[in-house]
Amino acid sequence: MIMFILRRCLQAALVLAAVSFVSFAVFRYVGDPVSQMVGVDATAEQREQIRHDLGLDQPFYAQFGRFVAGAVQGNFGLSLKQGRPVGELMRERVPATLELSFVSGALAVLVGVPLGVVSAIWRRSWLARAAMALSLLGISLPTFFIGVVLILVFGVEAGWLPSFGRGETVALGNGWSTGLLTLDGWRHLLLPAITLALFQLALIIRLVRGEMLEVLRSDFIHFARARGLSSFSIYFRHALRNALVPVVTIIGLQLGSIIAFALVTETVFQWPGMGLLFAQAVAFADVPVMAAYLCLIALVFVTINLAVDLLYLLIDPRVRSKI
Amino acid sequence: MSSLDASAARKSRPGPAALVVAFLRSEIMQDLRRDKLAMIAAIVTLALVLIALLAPLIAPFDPYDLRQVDLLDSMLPPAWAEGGQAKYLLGTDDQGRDLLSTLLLGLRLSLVVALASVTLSMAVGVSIGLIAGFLRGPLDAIVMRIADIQLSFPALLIAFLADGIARAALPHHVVAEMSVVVIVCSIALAGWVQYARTIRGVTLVECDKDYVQAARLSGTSTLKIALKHVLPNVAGPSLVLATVQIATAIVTESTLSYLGVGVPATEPSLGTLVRIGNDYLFSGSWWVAVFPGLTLVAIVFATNLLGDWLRDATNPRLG
Repeated sequence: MIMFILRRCLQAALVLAAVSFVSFAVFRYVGDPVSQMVGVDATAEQREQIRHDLGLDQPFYAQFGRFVAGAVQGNFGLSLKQGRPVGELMRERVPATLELSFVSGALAVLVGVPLGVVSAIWRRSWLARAAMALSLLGISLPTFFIGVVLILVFGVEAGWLPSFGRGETVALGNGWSTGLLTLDGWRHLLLPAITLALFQLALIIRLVRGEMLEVLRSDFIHFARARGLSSFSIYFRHALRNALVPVVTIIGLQLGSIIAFALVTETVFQWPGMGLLFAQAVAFADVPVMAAYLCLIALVFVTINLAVDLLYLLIDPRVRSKI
Repeated sequence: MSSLDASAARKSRPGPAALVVAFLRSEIMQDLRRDKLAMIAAIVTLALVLIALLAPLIAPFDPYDLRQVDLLDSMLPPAWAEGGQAKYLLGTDDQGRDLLSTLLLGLRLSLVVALASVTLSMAVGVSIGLIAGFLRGPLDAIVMRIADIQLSFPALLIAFLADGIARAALPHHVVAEMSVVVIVCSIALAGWVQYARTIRGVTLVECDKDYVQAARLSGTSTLKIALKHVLPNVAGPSLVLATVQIATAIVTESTLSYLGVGVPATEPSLGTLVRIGNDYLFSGSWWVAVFPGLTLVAIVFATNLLGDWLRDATNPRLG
C-alpha cells in the first residue's frame, strides 16, 4: 500500500521532470527571442546586451538549472509580447480560468447525474430520449461552434447576455479577483460556462446511464425488489451509490480536461483566463508564456491523476486488497 | 504469368459487380440496414464524402482564383436574404469569395486532413503496438509508460501543443507552406496511443496462440510472423478504431484552425471559415460562421454515429 503510493508519487515526479525539460527545450531553443524584442535596425551591441540581460549566453546546464529554480517559484521570465513577468500574467489569469472551470464542472455534474439516472430508470420516457439526444449532440458538436451559436442566439440576436469578457469583478486582495459576487459577472459567466459544460454534461449523462443500467441488472437489486423495498430506496440508496464509484473517478479525471478545454471556450468568449493567454502566446510564438503554461497544466494534470488514484484506494476496498 | 493462368485467375475471381452484390448481402450490411439511424449516418457520410471529392467540379466558383473574386462583393448575405445575389447561394465571405464554393473546398480539406492524420497515427500506432507486443521486455515497458502518460492528457491539448511548438520552431516560410503537414503530424501524434495500446494487447494474445507457435517452430522469421500472420488478425480492431477516431480528428483539425494555428485563411478549412465568420458575428453577418459550422456538425455527427455502430456491430460480445 505504502509502496503503491510511493511509486505513484515517483511516477508523478518523473512526468513533471520530463515536462519541465521539454518546456525548457522549447523555451530555450525555439525561435530567437532577441530578434523578436529588438527592431530590425538594432546594432550588434544592442543585441548582445539583450542576450546577456536575458542570460542566453550562459551554458546549457546553468540555464536549465535557472529555469527549474525559477519555475518552482513561479518565475518564468518576461513575456516576449507584453514585456511583463510571465508569473505575474499567469497569476492575474488563474482566477478567471478556475471560476469558469468550476462553474462549468458543477453545472455538468448537477444537471448530468440526475439526467443520467432518469434516462436509466425510465428508459423509454421522452425525458430520457431528450437527454440521450442532448448527450449525442454534446459529444458531436465542436466546443467552439457551440460557443459561436450561443453568442449568435443569446448575444447578438436576442441581446440578452453579454458575450465577451468577464464583466464587473471584485478584487479580493492578493491579486485574486472574482466575478461571482456581481450580477454582471454572472451574466458574463453564463454563456462560456454552458459552452464548456456541454461536452462534460454529455459524457456524464452517458456514463451515469450506462453504470445505472448495469447496476439495475445485478442480483442485489433483484433481491432488494424481492424484499419489497420502495423504488425510491432501490434507485437512490442502492443503485445510484454503486453506480457512482466509476463516475466519481471519471469526473475527477475530467476536471483536467475542463481546464484544458477552457482554452477553446476562453478564445471564443475572449474570457481573460490562462487558456486565452496561452492561445495568444502560441499565435505570437511567445515562448516563455508557452513554457509556463506547459508546466502549469502538467502540474494540474499530474496532481489530479494522483489524487484520483489515491481517492480510488479510499473508496473501493477491492482495489486496496489487490495491492 | 501465362495467358492461361490469367484467364483461370479471372474466372475464379468474382467481377466487381459480383463483389458489390456480395458486399451488400454481407452480414454487416444487413446489420446496417436493420439500424435506421446508422443507415442514415452512412448515407450522409457517403454523400458528404462524394460532395467533397467532387468539390472542384460542383463548386460554382474557384475561390482560390483571384480573378473570380471581387472585393466589392464581400459579406453578401445568402441568396434568399435581403441584399443577397442569386449567383452567391450562401452569400460571400470577407474577401468576396463565394461561401458555397469555399465551404465545399473547405470540407474537402477538412476530410483530407482528418483521413491523412488518422492513417498516419494508425500506421505509427499499429507498428509500435506490434513491436511492443512482440518484443516485450524493457522496450515494451518504456513505450507503454509513455503511452500512459500521454493518455492522461487530452488529445486536443497534445495536438495544440505539438502544433504550437512546431510553428514556433520552424521558420516562417516553412510553416506557411507546410501548415497542412504540420497539422496532420500534430493530430497523428495525439492519436497514436489508442492504436498502440489496443494492438499491443491483441498482439500479446495472438502471440500465445498455436498458429504463431507453429510458425515459430517451422522456422519462420519473427518479422514474417508479425507481418504475415499476426498483422491480418489485428487489422480488424485497428480499422474499427480508425473509424471512431475520424470524427475526433475532424473536430481537432477544425478546433486548431479555429484557434488560428491550423489551416491558413488563404485556403480555409471548415474551422478556419468559422474563425473568419466569428469576427463578423456582431455586425449581423451570421452566415460565414454558421454554414461551415453546420457542415462540420453534420459530418462529425454522421461519422460519430457510424463509428459507434461499427464498433458495436463488430463486437462479438454484444451480438
